Amino acid sequence: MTDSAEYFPASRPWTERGGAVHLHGSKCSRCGTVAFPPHGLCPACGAENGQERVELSPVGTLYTFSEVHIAPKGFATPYAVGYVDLPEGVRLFGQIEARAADLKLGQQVAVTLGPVRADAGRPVISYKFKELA
Amino acid sequence: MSAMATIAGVGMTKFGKQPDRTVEDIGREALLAAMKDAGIGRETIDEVLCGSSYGGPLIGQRILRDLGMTGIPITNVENACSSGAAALREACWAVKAGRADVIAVMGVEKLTKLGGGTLPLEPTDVEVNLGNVMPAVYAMRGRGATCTRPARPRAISP
Repeated sequence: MTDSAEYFPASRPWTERGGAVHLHGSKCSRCGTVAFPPHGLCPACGAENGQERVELSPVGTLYTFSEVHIAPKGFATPYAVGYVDLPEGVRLFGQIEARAADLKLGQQVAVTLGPVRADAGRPVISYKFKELA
Repeated sequence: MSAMATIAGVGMTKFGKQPDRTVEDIGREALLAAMKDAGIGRETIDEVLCGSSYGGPLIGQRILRDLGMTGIPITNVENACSSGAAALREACWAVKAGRADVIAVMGVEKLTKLGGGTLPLEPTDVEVNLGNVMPAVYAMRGRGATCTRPARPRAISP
């Protein structure tokens, strides 16, 4: 990743460790609900404070997916997208480094980092998913 | 169970690319057809609810202005693909509540003005930044084996 790259989100809510990418979430100290991206207010119980930063699991389960062939400017088609369930109870959207024809519902995928689009020619780096090796 | 409201008449325009017509023209055609179908005149209409996502500010007022149907409440409803349905829902409750007897409900859009491609979405949204587009949203909803957070439908007749 070059210094000229742009990141989304700009806060880079993730930690790379031992070849794995752990996204940062928030955990409610009142009800225990985990959310991503980190929230200041618990989306489950409404607690307005006590949202503690936690690292999320680097592997999740593919809930659903599709492949995009017509996309807004800056996205290189085709690209696969999907929703992934992490063990902490978080379901998140992201691109998947695979062709949709090779994916199966319920398969394990790992969080990774990579370009998701280009902004004025510069790559925008974000979290995405890849098939387990 | 008492009925909420009755649909007295409907009108629809031809779907297709209509480069020579404005969204206001198209909306007016549908509204006049619905009024004719219902057999009612403008004096009977108490208010107007207009559903649209890309029609721009005051879409309902812009449609009604040239018909001279002003001076009644005109409210615009934006709710993505279900903007027209959401406007109809609000109209049903308004009639049920006794706020109005007759409401003209519209759903209008002219997407060809956007020049093709997927619908432009808001860049402040996380998923939009990562490349989610509406056709993918629907495809993923269709492919998902189960829906763990289902909508809770509510009977429309209280």
